[in-house]
Amino acid sequence: MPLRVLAPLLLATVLGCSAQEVNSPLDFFPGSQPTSWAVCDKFGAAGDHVQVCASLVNAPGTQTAISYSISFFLPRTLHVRLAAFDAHGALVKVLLDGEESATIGQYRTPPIIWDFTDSRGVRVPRGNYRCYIAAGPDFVSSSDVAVP
Amino acid sequence: MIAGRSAALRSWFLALVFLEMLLACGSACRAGTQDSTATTPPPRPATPSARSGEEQDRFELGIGAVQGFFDVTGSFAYRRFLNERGPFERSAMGELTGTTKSQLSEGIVSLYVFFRPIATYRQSWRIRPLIEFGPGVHTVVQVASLEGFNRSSYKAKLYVKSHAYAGFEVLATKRLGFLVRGRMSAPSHHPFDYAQAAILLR
Repeated sequence: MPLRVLAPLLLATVLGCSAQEVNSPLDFFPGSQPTSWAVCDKFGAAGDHVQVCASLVNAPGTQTAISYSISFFLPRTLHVRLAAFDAHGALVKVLLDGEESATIGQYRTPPIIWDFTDSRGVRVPRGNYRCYIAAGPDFVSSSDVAVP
Repeated sequence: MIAGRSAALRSWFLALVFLEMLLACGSACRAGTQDSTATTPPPRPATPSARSGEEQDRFELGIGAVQGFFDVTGSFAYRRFLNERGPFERSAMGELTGTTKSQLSEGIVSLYVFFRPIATYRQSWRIRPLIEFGPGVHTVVQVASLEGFNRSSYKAKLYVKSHAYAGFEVLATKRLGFLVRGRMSAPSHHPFDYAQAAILLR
């Protein structure tokens, strides 16, 4: 076979990407624009805009995260939807979906806890996930979560 | 991590440029080296395509079954026959494919250069074996629709692969025909990754 035929074939084979396939889901999260919510300890809720805070909760006496604790401040009653998505953008679990009263104090208590389970209660595989929150018609925010 | 990603992008870009140079390095490159290789016989120049009229180019409107997450994909392609050189006929093809499943939609822009052994068919045949191979560059764009948030996330990726196709093309009339073919790709976790049926418009 002539070199001019063989060379591009070999080059494409060697340089081609086998780790992922065409026609397979790409990893969206964390993407080129990773996001994160502030830790609730440093949360200074005030004013008339929505704020969100979150932190990983470790198992007692360990550095292993067992859940993701999310809270927020609402200046008025709003419909809030909070959900976790996997790296391919598939819905994993809806954590909150309903009317929430205006927040009294710094932030909502108790916080919303994602225990790293899906909608069936099965623990999700380790990997990258992203939580989205929408409050009212205008506010949407997200935060990446690395599940160990 | 960012540095690693930019390095990967840079190496991809260089690889593509190199591939492009190899593919484009046809008769012009060979002509440039002829003077310095006096002892070797001059290579046979590329002949213009022996194809004429409706054999020169065609559109392909197809549907395919793919290995992987998605089930069915639609495709639209334009193919132009370039020339014959040695035992191969060369053609270039641009292809758009699209598919969707659950939260994901995918569009792919692909560019191929195909080598088809001339000995495998005759233009006079109405049913022709379709055996060809060549490199392909694929730009994949996926859109994830985030359920319940009226939002979408986008991701794009570039792939370079070698492909081999085998199948048949049947010419119903001078301008209309159809084809069925399967594809093998390398590198790939699923080497047999694509089966397609398409209508030809010449």
